[in-house]
Amino acid sequence: MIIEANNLVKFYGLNQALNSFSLKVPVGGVFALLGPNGAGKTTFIKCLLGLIKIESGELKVFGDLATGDQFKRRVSYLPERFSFHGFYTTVQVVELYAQAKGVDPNEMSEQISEAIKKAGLGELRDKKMSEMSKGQRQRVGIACLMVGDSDLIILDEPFSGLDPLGIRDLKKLIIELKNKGKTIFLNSHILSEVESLCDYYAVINKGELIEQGELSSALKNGSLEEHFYQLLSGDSDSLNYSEDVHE
Amino acid sequence: MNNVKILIGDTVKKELRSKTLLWLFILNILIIVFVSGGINYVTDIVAEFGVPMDLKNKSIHIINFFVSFWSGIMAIIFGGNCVRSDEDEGVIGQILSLPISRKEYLIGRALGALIISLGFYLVLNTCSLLFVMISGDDFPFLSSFPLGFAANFASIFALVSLSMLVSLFSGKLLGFITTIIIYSFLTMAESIFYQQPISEFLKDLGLFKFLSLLMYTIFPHISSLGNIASKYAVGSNYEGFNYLFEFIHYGISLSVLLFILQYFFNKKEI
Repeated sequence: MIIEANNLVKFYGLNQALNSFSLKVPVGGVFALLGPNGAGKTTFIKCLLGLIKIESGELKVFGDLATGDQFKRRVSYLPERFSFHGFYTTVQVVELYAQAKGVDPNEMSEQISEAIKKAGLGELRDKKMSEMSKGQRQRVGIACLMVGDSDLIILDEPFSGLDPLGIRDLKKLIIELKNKGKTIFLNSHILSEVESLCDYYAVINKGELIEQGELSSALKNGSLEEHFYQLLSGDSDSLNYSEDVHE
Repeated sequence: MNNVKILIGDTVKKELRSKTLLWLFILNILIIVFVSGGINYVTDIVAEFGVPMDLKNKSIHIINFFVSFWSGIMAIIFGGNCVRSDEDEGVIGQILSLPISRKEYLIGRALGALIISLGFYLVLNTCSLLFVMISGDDFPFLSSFPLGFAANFASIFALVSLSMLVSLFSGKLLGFITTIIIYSFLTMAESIFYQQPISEFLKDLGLFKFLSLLMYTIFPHISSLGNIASKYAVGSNYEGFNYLFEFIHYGISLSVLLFILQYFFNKKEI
């Protein structure tokens, strides 16, 4: 397993974001964590990256406890809204990522150029973040994903904020990364996009794991969307997509 | 260590790219020109009226006071800004999702802010020396300047750390004002205790003196170090200063300050 979570508990004040949450993500392929807003998806990713601390439970990445920072050398992360200081240009942001990921200085320039080109930002190479649209900034985040040599790619709501072309390019990239043997872990609300991409899925609601399995088994009775609604139909409140500060 | 180097470089580049450095530099040069010109003007007036005041020889002291004061303000601005701006822009989570530990992030940002503040101090000092030379005084660079620089380094490092700590709990402006208030209280507390023997510390201990003593004990003596720096820079002695006590106190109090800074940063949810 590339990610192994056992009985994670996380509170934000009195609100329980993760309630004995357990998950097993196999090596290789695309894994989608699905759930309504406020279900605990982003909280789980933040726990994984050490941005927030769990109250109890055990979290393993690459077979080791996710306590240090060295495992992050093999991890790339794209947040739901990629942002950076407005006065940084595309190339300056990607360069910082490349340096921090320990890219060989001899390959740095080439890798940065290639990543920027693949993210469709060739003409925006020297454009400042403050002058970009939300979708263009998200593409900068995608360029940052591609520098270094990560085995685990974490995408938090990767399709939100992207135009149809951006969604198409990102899907293409995800498939390309999967074919290279990388593991892609993503959260998404857009179930139709997830269905065309993922190999495995898990459903989380109110911080608890509802179901986990291979996509093929979920599709036996219809689409992923139908299966998702069936799973959560007993809990209509959770489908109101109420805003949660932590999501 | 490599990550710390990357973050030091990024902190400096961040301030350069945001043009903050440029604007502050222009502001500081204007202030030095204003102060220097003001001193020359007053000197001429005093000379015209035949008042027996040796203002000309004091100009370097006055300018140095401003250099030291502004270096402190710069340290508060850059110290407060280095982590806060990352947080305000939502960048901090992205940086910490990279293989960079919180400790490395904090050290990198602190050292970056320290380098910028010291750079400012050096540039301002050079400019002030040039202005003094232009106004016709002797070249005032002295062999004691490196000692002044060392004292200023210590003072600025403590101010950067204090400002970073305050910025963890407040926005940019509120953090700046809070740090200035703490700095002012510290300066006041230091002026009360620095020449007193330790045996006198507890005499006539009222609430105000108790609070002053508390601050004098737990915080590095930032103001005194700044004063030493400006005195050394112009070759004066700084009397009534127990160097051994101050050295030990600085080491312990700064370590405690850094420990508290790291403790709260580690606890921070991003």
